[in-house]
Amino acid sequence: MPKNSTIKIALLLLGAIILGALLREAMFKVAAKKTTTSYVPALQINGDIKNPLTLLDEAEFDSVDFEYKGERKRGIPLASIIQSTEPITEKHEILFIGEDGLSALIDGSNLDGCHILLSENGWEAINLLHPVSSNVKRLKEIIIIAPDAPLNFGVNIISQTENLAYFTPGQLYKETGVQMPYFEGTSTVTNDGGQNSVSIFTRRQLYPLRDLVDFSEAEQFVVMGAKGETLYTSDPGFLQVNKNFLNYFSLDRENEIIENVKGFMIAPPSRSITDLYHDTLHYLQRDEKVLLLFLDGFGYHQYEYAKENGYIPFLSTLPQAEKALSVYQPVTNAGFAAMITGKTPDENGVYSRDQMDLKTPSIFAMAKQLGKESALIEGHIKILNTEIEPVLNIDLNGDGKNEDEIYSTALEYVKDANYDLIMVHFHSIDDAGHSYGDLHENTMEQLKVVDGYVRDLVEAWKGKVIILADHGMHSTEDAGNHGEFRYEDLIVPYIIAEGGRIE
Amino acid sequence: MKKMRNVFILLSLVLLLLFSAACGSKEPAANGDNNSGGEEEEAIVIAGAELGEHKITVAKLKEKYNPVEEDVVSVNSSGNENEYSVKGALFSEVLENLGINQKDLPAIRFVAGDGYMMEVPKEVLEARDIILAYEINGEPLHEKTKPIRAIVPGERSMYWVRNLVKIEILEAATAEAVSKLMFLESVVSSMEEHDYTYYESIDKAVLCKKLPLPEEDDTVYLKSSDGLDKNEKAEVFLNEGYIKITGEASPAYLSPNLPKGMHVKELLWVGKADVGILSVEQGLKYFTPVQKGEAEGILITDIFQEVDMADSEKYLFTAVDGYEVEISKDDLAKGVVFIKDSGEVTVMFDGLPKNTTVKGLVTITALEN
Ligand SMILES: [Zn+2]
Ligand SMILES: [Zn+2]
Repeated sequence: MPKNSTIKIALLLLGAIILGALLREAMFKVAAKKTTTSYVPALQINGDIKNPLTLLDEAEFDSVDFEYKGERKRGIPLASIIQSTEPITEKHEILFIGEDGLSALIDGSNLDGCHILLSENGWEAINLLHPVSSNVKRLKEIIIIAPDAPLNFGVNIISQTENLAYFTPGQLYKETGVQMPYFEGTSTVTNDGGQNSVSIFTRRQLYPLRDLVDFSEAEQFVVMGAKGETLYTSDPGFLQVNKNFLNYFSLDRENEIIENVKGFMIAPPSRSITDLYHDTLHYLQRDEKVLLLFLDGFGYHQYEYAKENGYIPFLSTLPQAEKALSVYQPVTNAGFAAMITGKTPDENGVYSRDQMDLKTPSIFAMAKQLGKESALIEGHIKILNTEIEPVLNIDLNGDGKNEDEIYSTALEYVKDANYDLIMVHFHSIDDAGHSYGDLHENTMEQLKVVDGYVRDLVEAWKGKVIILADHGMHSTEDAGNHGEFRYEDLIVPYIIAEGGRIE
Repeated sequence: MKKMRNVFILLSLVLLLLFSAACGSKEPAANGDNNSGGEEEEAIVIAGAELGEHKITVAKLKEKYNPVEEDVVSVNSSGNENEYSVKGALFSEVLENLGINQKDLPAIRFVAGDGYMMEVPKEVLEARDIILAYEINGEPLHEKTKPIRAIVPGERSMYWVRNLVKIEILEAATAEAVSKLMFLESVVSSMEEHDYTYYESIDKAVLCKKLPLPEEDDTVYLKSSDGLDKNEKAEVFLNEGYIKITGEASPAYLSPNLPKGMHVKELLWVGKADVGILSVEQGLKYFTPVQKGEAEGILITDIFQEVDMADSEKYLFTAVDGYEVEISKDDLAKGVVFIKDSGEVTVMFDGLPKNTTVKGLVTITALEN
């Protein structure tokens, strides 16, 4: 018995020593690898994905064994890397780019047999079931390309009447860019002899917009960013990929960078929905009264279609609407805020549905300064926090809509001589557009109803009338929507008319 | 019971071995510095014209400011990337404590102990966090990197200055001084006028591209008499713009091709490179008019201060008809600019001979010293 236990202890000790030695070796391996991390080139996974990834260590993913050309190898299944980056769409392509610029494109739908490993060849892609040419050594980048990514993910190039082109960060990698030196700054070293300065340039891969779309005739462009930055320019400039989003910039003006650029419009209309503030202020200063009719979700193409097909008999009697440019993102909060502040979203602080507070004064504050009385008549919920409290309207008669209540309230205010500035927000065209589509029969019928409301209000008003929309509406597979950088969402009608009955 | 004891022994042995292994492996990676007592002495200086010099010890940085920990990737000039995890204090919080907002600074300069300097421009200060790092990858800084390493996540590694000993707050890169100041009323008197429809009226306007502005510089500075100012891209200003010179809100920078938010009403002055053009009409609203002798007008010295006129011993005053008068710096304070009933811009110097009065004043030039 004691003998047995001695052997056991001896065995245990031996085991411990062996295990310890193994662990020790393993630790040294880790330690050794840690110290060489800086020599391991980074593998970038970028493109049409939610989470860009910089891979420095194989251990960040579980590896598997596989056989390649009769040799046992160990590598990370490509599928698990790709999955962790959350591609924007299920259907995508994968582009391998080597340090020498050599690249290979494979379909991302079947990644069986695809491995990424770190070898004496740096990062390496070994794809057992794909053509041998897809096996790229000294991998620098893996780009995920989503051919059908939603429009908001990339940059859209449009005109007033056409959506011309669309590029995601991933898709741009397939285009031919140019390498441009970019001045980063000057650094200085002081030695005994004096100061030595060196200008530092980096090379940036840029995509000239001129090469992406042909717009030889156009002289003016407007560029918009995700936060509503708006830049008018006569120099088309460049796009640059930054991992999973795009930047806009022009080389000669290094300050003009729009981070996360969303769109580029060729020959934009001269009017913007921000003109509303300036025009209204002009009339108020001249002691004219102003009625603002805000028709939510009413694009210029809808106006034209409705006019041609007889859905807006009253609006058709007014001067032809001008085209006005909405803002990015073309949604109610941002459009509404731009109209009443006269500023673009980057300045007034409202660039999506998530903001309610204005950073700059609205036309209501200006009216008050001029000693004018104003009213804002809306649906059942407040959209923005403005300097005046809106008059809200609920569905009193239970017909399932509150548009008729908004109309009745507005008519009372319009007939009340005390008001110098009244803004009425009708939203049923937008509702119908979402439910049925921008040019659907039902949407047009609703437009006709609103056209009647507009007629009564304009006829009852003594003063200037401005009719406009916050954004437009485009067709989707099943109905309609807005919020993208496309002409249907961004170009809206803008009408200035006189109130009163036309005899 | 017995089994458990065996496991216990095994565990202790493994732990012991592990420990020794850990000690063994530490050596090659060692930093050569475990002396935390030196921290008291380690400090950086934040310096600025208004601020003076502020010394902050590393110990204080650790104690007083919330430590931020971040995984960062540095990209060097050849495009290679390295990932680190860094720990330090936010420069913006240190500044805040000094009553300064990082986003308001025109530029800063990092100065390293070995004399290396790197300027960080406004765009970076506006958009980025700057971490004053005292730990990298969980370890104190290397001797050569101490006392602080600047980390600017998202920017190139050239800004990530090691051995950072001083941060200088730089003065605003002042716009170029004006060496030639012109008067809008006189300038437009000889220019071709175009009809410009402004709401209900048809006013007169001149083309911006015909203004006598220099080619240099790709921005144009515009200031309104209500005090608002902005920079416009020169190409947009020149290609699309008009200066409306009659009717409401004039003079006004307008363009039929631009949204109204980009217009500038009641324009006080326009500047491009070293040339400024000022409206006397708006100047009379913007400055406090002063009575000098028989004339009430704007002090030359007020105008010079507003446009940042280049310093010189002598200034040349020129009329549209070519009449010239040289005035010395010391006499400037005697001069007032006003508009005569005839509409001519006129400068008159109180106490100087009558022939120093210039009618139809178009330009003031700072003469080379
Ligand atoms: Zn809306
Ligand atoms: Zn909507």
